Amino acid sequence: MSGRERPVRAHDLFWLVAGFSVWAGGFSALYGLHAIGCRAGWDEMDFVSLSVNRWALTGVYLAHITAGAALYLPLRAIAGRWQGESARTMRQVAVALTLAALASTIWSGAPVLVLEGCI
Amino acid sequence: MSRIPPITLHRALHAVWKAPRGPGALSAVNHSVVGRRFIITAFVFFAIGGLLAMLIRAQLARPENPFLGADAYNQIFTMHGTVMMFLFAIPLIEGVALYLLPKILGARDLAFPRLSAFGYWCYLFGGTIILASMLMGVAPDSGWFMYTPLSSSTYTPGVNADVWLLGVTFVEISAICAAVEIVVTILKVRTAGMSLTRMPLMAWYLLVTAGMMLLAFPPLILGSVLLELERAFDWPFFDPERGGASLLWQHLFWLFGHPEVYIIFLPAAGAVTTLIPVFARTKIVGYGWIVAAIISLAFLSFGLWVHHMFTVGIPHLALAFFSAASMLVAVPTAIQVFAWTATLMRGRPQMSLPMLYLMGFFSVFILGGLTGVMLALVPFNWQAHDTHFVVAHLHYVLIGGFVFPMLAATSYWLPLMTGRMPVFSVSRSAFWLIFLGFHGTFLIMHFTGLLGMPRRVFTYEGGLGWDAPNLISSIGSFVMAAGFALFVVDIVLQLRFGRRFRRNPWGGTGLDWAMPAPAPSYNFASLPLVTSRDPLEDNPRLGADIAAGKGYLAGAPRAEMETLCVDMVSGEPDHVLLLPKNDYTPFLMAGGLAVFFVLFLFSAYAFSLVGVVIAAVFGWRWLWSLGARTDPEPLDAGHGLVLPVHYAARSAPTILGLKYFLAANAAFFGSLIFGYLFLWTTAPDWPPPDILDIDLLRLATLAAGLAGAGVLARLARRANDKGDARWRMLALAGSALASLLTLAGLGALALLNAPSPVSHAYGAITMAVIGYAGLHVLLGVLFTAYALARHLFGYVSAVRSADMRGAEIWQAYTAITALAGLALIVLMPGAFG
Repeated sequence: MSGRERPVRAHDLFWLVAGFSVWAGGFSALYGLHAIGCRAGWDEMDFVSLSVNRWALTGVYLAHITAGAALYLPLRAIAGRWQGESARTMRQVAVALTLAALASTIWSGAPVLVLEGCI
Repeated sequence: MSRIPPITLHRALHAVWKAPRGPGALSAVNHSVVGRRFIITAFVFFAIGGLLAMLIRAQLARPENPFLGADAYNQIFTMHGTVMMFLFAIPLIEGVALYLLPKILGARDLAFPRLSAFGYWCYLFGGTIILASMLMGVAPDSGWFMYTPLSSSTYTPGVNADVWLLGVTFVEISAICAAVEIVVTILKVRTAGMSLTRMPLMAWYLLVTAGMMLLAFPPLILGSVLLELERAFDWPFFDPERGGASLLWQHLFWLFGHPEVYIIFLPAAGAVTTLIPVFARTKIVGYGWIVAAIISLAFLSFGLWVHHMFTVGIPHLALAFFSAASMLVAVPTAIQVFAWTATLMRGRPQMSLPMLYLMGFFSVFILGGLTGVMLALVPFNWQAHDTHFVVAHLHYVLIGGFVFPMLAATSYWLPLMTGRMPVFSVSRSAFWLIFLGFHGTFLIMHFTGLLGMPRRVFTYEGGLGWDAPNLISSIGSFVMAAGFALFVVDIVLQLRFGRRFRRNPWGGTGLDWAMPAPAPSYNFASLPLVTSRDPLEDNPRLGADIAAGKGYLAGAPRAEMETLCVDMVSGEPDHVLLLPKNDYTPFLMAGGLAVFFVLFLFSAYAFSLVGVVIAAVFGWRWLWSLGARTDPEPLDAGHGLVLPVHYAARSAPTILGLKYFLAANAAFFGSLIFGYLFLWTTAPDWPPPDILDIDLLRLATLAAGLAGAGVLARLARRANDKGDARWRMLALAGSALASLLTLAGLGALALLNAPSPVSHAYGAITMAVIGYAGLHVLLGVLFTAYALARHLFGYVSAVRSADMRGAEIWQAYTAITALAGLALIVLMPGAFG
């Protein structure tokens, strides 16, 4: 024991929803930004051979993938300190959910890389 | 350790917990009574919805059938969907949850028994309004999803659509109440030692489902409010000729509607997960994986709503997001199916009656899931949209994923209610009739749809290839109906002739079977210490030990209704919850709301406020009955455990309940903001001709008022924590005054500066945002006034701080949302004008 072990507490339940909250934020942001970009005519403005709309959506997409991946590091550190009866299952569930959410973010936003425009 | 004979304990507890009979039954709040009422009422509505389905199938049995006219058919298919979704499926889930939760969690009742009772009366009154409209020939007739513009006053000038909008909203109040009840009960009201990871998986399923209800129902409630405002007061949210958008309704409806499918499926899947290990004589495989799958499913289900709108002209890229998410959702569903299959493979399955229904569930639901993946693909969806293929798919999902598991659950848990076992030969015949009738009806309906037959047509020409499949579907539906009738016969026979038993007839390992059957009003004579997920397997004599008072809070020595509240994660006891006695307040408060909804339906808008006043008076009375005027002494819970009473505990359920109500409220507000942004970016004729005219000084004054009310409420709570009664009172009074002045400022903004809500959707949605802020500020005045009154009458102290914390949380929420709303309506015209 390193002496930093502690039981799972109520605020640790955050890790059960953190990954998919990032997914939900990314999904909403992509859908909303796409509508705003189409309304503002960003799909008809070019920047470095791609439309501004595509740049904006790709940026949001990558930002959410980064955020989802970044959750994993603190989760490993924090969940590694959990001890007690609930620790093992909670760790398993939290890690599985964080990774599943990251995969979901990559999958559901991927169309921004291949589809274009507001039609 | 208690040495009192079990019968003595039983008599003492029953004297305190028993439900009243006769007219006093209206005051009953016990979870078993309220849960049973929900379940029975839901099954009555199921029977009505089933009769309507038979009328539909009779009409479609042959081409050009004169049996029903178009108007009657429109009302019947609309009512069939409405009754099945809103008055059967969701209330049945609520009823099962309310009835079962304390029993599987080792508690004596729910966190807020009066809230459940209030929810039941809202459901009953709302459902009765909807049903009465059918008897009067003015039932809703625009489809169960009420699409605009068909449901707008131009095309539905009568009260038909109003009945739906008001009735369903009334019923949804019940759903929100049940969701708060379920979440708080699962998180706080469990027996000692039941950590989150020792909870039965059914509780996880219900926890996630209730969380989804809190976020999914508010968009529908908002949509209903906006459409009713359009119909009653001509605010054109959905009228494209005045800057509105019909698609806004579809978005709000399906923001609710798709998660709703999983809200219905998840509790049923919880029943499947509970029953399979029992009848396979083994433990569930993959507890942790199932928990992860449920939570994933809950989130992903909120990213699918547009797949109901693939054909409305949304850009391809947006469709691709939703198509991808629609395919993704199959993964967590499949994880559960694999866990169930693995459990069956590991165990020794017994084909008992509940297991028979589970096998029906597997075969039907998996087919429904596969056609769901087909419909998730945009090109196929375009071909099959609005055909009978979709009708077949949704019935495979809903009957397969909900009705079959609930029939299994009914067979499994009904003996707990009745104390008798089913009469097997009858129930097996019922299963086979339902199963074969179901496939006879809906399997061929896929082909009817692929042959091109559209939904919601009251008749069709002969010779299109639809005649034979429709006839087969109709015959199948009558076979299925006979099966359901036989199921009811089986229940009657069980009640009358079923073999009696004492405990645990199926060999379950959860606490629900550690009590005598029929379950007593108090559930457990004492509350056990749980040390694993299968307490009855650890100690097969646990039921007898509980009855002998060997657990915590044995009997009713203080003549109070007591149960344990625990730490959310570890399950360690942290206080004793004193539950309310039977009370007419929930019935009377729901009655007040019924007065409001009925008078509003009859366009008596001003008089309808009388109902709101009645509800508010009883709501105040309800709150006033909480707490005490002196700091309570800790209670002896037995086994050397001394715990505070809930109103002296900081983690009491009341504040948690308020937070979850506000979570639902935030979902409502978020949907309103979505509506505002949607209209700005998508609706025709924007930007609007008249923009909100507000000067910086007035805006700063409003912002200062909102922030000031929030800060002062916080200061009042902090003063209370320090025992400073004078500053507590002054800060509370200041918060109330700041709210009052802000309310006046918002009123002036609405009356003097805001554009007309009638001429353009911009004015309507802007007024809706101001109205939301104003309503919350008004309630903030009431909250702080209430806390002030409680202070004056001695109900508040540093220990008894719930009133102060409630006021603080409300004022903070109001400040945040109202400031966000004001920022939006002030900044948007500049950004996008």
